[in-house]
Amino acid sequence: MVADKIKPLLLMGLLTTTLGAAGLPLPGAWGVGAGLLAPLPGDLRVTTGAGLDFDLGLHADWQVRPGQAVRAVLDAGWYSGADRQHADPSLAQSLSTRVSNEALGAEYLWRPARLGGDWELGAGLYLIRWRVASVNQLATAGGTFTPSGTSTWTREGLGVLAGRWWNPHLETVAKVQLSHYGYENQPTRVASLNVLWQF
Amino acid sequence: MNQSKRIAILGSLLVLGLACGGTRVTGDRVATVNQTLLLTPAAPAVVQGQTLQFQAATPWGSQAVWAVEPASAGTVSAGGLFTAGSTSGACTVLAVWSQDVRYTATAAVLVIAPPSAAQGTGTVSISPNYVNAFGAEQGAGTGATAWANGAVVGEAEASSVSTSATGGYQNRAGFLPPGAN
Repeated sequence: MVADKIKPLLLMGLLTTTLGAAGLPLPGAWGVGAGLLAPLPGDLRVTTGAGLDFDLGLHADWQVRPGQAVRAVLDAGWYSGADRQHADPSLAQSLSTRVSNEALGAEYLWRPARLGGDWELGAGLYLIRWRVASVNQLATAGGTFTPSGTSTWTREGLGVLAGRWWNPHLETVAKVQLSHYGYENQPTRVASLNVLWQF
Repeated sequence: MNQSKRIAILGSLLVLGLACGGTRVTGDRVATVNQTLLLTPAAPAVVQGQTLQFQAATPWGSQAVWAVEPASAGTVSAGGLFTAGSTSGACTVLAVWSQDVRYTATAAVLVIAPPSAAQGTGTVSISPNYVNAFGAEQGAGTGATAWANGAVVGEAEASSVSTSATGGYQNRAGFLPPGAN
């Protein structure tokens, strides 16, 4: 698990080195964002539940060429959580899970001139730290045992996005991010719709 | 179709493709999580006051948190060593994987009374060709074997059980563990 802990540091180092080598000492713009998350049907949605999820983020853009930019992103997401019950003759189980994550990544953005420069397509690479807090209540005929704990994993992620600039400061971004979580390395697919404000 | 439209369509198809992939039926669905945490033995019998070592294992580690329900049935140490209490009956040993408490496993344990000890000493006569309860086959001829105090684990077939000929000797002091037959 030591590798999990140093992965974000390694990615931060990689980003810094890459951007530094590209001769980009300062970002062209900083910004903040907020939005809604929607885990797509699959393993993650079992753990997160189907409620309303949201995220907050920081980003910095570097213009690398006309119509092309690199964006460093740091996002944090909170998911609504799931509560499930199961009973059989010998054991009744009630499992509550709450999921959150932080993602550190770099996105390549392309603003085709033929689309007027307002539209943006992109792809990103991320390191995502997943956190699942669980309360597992196990009830037998003899009594109840309720262990709880939080598990974390850091996994790589991949994303594609499309954005629309409404003015020089305001952008909306739709993104699908793929990753994995858990010891069984279960797949995650999260769609998001964010509003970004660039200073 | 101009290039900008093609770009927009290709981007949309890529997003849709990523969003609509297949699903797997794994994950922390209740009552399926314990398929990964393996607890052994699964359904043992333990004599009152005796111990039994449980093992809980996943592909990623074996550290577990343990509990016994009802608590009066016994105790289980942090290392999974179960010590039966002084009351006979059924109980459940629960194991939860320390690194991710979504993973659970249970074992149904039967706590049973200890066998009563044999009393006294004496001589037992066994008919030829019978197998006594201690597992010693009595040969042909005169049968006269002496034993000291002892207890028998397991139960011999009725036809081969020898009874004491003198004194208060009883050599059929075993018990029958569940499922032994």
